[in-house]
Amino acid sequence: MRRVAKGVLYKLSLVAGVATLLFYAVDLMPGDAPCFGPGMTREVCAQIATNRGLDESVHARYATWVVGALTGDFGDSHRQSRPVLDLIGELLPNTLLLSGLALVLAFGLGILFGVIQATRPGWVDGALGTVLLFFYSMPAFWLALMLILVLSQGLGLFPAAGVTSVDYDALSGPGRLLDRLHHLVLPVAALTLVSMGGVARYTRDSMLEVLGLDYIRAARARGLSERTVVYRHGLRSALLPIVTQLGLSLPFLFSGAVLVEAVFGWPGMGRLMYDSVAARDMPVIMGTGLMFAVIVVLSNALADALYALADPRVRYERD
Amino acid sequence: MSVTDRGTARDRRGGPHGTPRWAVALIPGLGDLRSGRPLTGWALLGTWAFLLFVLLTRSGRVAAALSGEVSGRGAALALVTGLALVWSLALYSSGRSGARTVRMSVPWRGLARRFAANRGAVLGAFLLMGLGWVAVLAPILAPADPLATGPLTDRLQGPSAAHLLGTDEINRDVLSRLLHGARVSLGIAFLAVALASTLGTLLGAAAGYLGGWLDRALMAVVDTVLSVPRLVLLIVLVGAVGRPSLLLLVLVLGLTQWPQTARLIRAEALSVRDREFVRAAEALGFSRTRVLFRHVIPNSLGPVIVAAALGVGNTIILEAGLSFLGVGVQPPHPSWGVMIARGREHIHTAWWLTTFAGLAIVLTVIAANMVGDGLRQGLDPRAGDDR
Amino acid sequence: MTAEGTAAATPLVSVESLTLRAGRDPAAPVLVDRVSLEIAAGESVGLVGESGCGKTLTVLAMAGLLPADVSKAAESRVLFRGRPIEACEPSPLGREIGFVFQDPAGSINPVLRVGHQIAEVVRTLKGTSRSDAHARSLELLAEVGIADPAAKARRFPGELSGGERQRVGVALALAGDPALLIADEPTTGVDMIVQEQLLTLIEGLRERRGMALVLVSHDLAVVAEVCDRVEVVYAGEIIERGAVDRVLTDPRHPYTQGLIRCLPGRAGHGVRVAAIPGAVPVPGAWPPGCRFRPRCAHAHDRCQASPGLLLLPDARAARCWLVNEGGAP
Repeated sequence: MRRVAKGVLYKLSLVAGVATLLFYAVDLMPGDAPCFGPGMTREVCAQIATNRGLDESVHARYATWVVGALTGDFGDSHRQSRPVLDLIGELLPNTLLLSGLALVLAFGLGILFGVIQATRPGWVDGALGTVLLFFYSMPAFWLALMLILVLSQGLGLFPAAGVTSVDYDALSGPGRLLDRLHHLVLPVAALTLVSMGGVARYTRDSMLEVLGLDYIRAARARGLSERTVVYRHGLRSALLPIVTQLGLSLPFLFSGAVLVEAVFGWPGMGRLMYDSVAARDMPVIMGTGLMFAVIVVLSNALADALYALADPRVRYERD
Repeated sequence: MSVTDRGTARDRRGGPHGTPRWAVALIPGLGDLRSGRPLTGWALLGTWAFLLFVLLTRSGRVAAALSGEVSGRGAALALVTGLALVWSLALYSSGRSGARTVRMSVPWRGLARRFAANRGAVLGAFLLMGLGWVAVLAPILAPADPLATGPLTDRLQGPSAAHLLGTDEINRDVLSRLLHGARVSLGIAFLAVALASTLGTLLGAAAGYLGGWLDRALMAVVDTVLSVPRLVLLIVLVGAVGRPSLLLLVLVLGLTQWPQTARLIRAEALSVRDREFVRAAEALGFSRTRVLFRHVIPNSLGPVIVAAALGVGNTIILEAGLSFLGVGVQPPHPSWGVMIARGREHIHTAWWLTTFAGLAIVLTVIAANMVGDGLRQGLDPRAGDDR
Repeated sequence: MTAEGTAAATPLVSVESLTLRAGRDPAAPVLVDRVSLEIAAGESVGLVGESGCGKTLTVLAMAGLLPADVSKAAESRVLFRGRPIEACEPSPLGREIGFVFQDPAGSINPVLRVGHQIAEVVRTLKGTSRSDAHARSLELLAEVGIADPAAKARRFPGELSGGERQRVGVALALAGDPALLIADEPTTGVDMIVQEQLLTLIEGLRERRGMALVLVSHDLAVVAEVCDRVEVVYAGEIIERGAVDRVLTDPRHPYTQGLIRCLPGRAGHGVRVAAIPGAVPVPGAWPPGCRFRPRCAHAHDRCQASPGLLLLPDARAARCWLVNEGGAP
């Protein structure tokens, strides 16, 4: 119990650390709040700065922000004059949909390919490894552009931008779902293809290590079928470290998602983040950055918990 | 290497059979090839042939650059000194009677052997070396000035004999920009990774070896930084500036990567800390700093090297991403990421703009990843396998 | 000849001229050199030798379980009930041959409950239903002497003691009701009391089930306790064979004599246990001729040539020139 409490406390301190890091990092960076547009005279800019509390010291502003954040008030976006939480609430589902689907697919396919590689040494392993390395070495946003070039522009199979079509409102219920899925294909494909190579390699190595262990040979010797040995005994043990990998790969996936969102004009956290940084929209930067950190920390904690659940050795060794 | 081994190596090189002695003496790498060091041999031979080829085919350009008539003096100097160095090295070693023996400690020798046996890794290493030379020699290799615009009436030309990879939206030669882009992308990646590796190694090893509050504090920082998606952190850091300089890019890319290195080497240092030679050095009364630098760090370097190789690829992708978003390398610097971003607006009419820049990234990153994989398998014979 | 007669004449397992190499290369070091032996139904045979002499590889080959980096020479044959073991369909592994591994901690899957693992094997081999297999797994646990099988079945291997783990290993090997049990150093890493219990268990199981048993051990005392017949292995070769009591009382090979002198019971109080000087040569470094020569007190010029396995009365054999001269030196 104490161990769990300590763990939770540590995770919370990480989130607090991220908040501090982001706040001071943005402040330390040279450059001023952008001041442009019609009627933006020096005086107006100065007035805006005062309104935003920019003439206070950074520590004072940070203290104000922390007090607000602790009471659930993350402030209003300077750019859109709307509460940050509303903006995030609006855009986060889009990002989670995109990243979540890609995460599931990348791990599903990656594990599948990794197992195939581990069980078929020789040319199958080599060829799959080469193809996966190829995708793994691509920038997600470039792959997204290439997919648009070939599948959208060349063959006209999928839409190249947005979440829904223009005539979305006129569509029936199932038609709307199909339309949404249709728009998801390319961004999810781009993210999945670049992410699955890492998962496959990890699975392959883990699987090869496990398949070489004594208890796998012993399981064969007891007359179990090759399928039972590979999938029930081998894969089960090999997947344990991959569970941890699931949590660790989330930051990587989000990084890709930010760029893929930019390519497809996907209204998500990535775009929100990018736009607000360009506009030095401090409350939004802090809100989105913190949201990403919370998701990452939570998923790591979840992965740890899953690992403990899945591996009996962790459980009884702790007692 | 024992005395007898040297003897055999001497007997085999420049003997009466096979390649004539003058060829071995004149052409770098042949000697190594003949005495059973194919890796060194091909690297020397390849570098020599490539540099000589460039010098001969672009001699006018090199001369002009050296005399300062056109830009690229540094590249021309690098070409000439590189060639001279490779050649003199070969002449020197063939002049000596014994074969050059590289003295390596036992674990590194095993790494070198396994690395050399890994075809992909060797291919990657050669590719990376070639790309490095391309980056250095870009001003001499490039057919045109990467910044020189042509007539706008004739922009966005497709690939042709005049412009092998076409021209861009303000009629600049894409191939020339691509070659110069190698300088920017590789330069930033290598410097950032070097910074991250140095910092990560020092901090991680110190944390793992010394432990205590330093360890706890450092790991808290590491965990914090790793809790934010790296691109998000980079966007915040760089985006706040608006138009970052190349130096700033190197700094932020390096400063966001060291925690990963630190975490790896800390784990390694933790296990090295309890090994007997470390205990023995401590018992002899050596200072902790000395033990750290002489024993702990050298014996924990394995994962750092792997992480560095893989980090080069990763950093190139990240830099391209930042440049794509407009917060990385700033135009008119020819960066691959910027080229993709610019090409995106014309993707419907000029596919070559995005495609080639992206392929350049993929090629570089694949090379770096293959080297990294080779090192990983070389260091840990169990990881992967050589079936 | 009747079918029954043929079955009686055919040994359960016969190994003919088994040669194993460390790698696919025909020039690779030889690990096991032209070993031939037969196991009849219901018989219990011990394989004795120091570590690295090839006894484990021999029994792995007997079960068709050779690791990928060990290759079998083309002329070597392992027959199970008269047919090459690779050609047996379905594979006799588990069904006819139960294998108890050296290291129970490593040979039992650590992330699955032991009851589940036994039931899984029962289901695969017997095709029984899930609930029947579960019931059978509890019977097997009881048969190998585990107290409170229902509770222990729900444990993970890591939660059991070393002795219990090896009992589970035996239960797993018995799940298919095999005709032959191969136990490779089953008492490694357990204390003397548990070793005694395990040996009693294996001996009892063999008698009750009428199985054949092949027991691999470096300890002649262990083999003497459980087995009827013994094969002494040295540097990849069988150097002596015969009924256990005969070999113990009248060993013919100097190596066997050395092994017997090493038995703790034989050395009187205060008498130093006579160890054999030197160590087993590693594969690839075997001396020509008699391989025991460098360590042998009776080495002679003729030992430069190998005597071959010389047959003696009462199904005994020894690989030593001295045998021809009538009796032990």
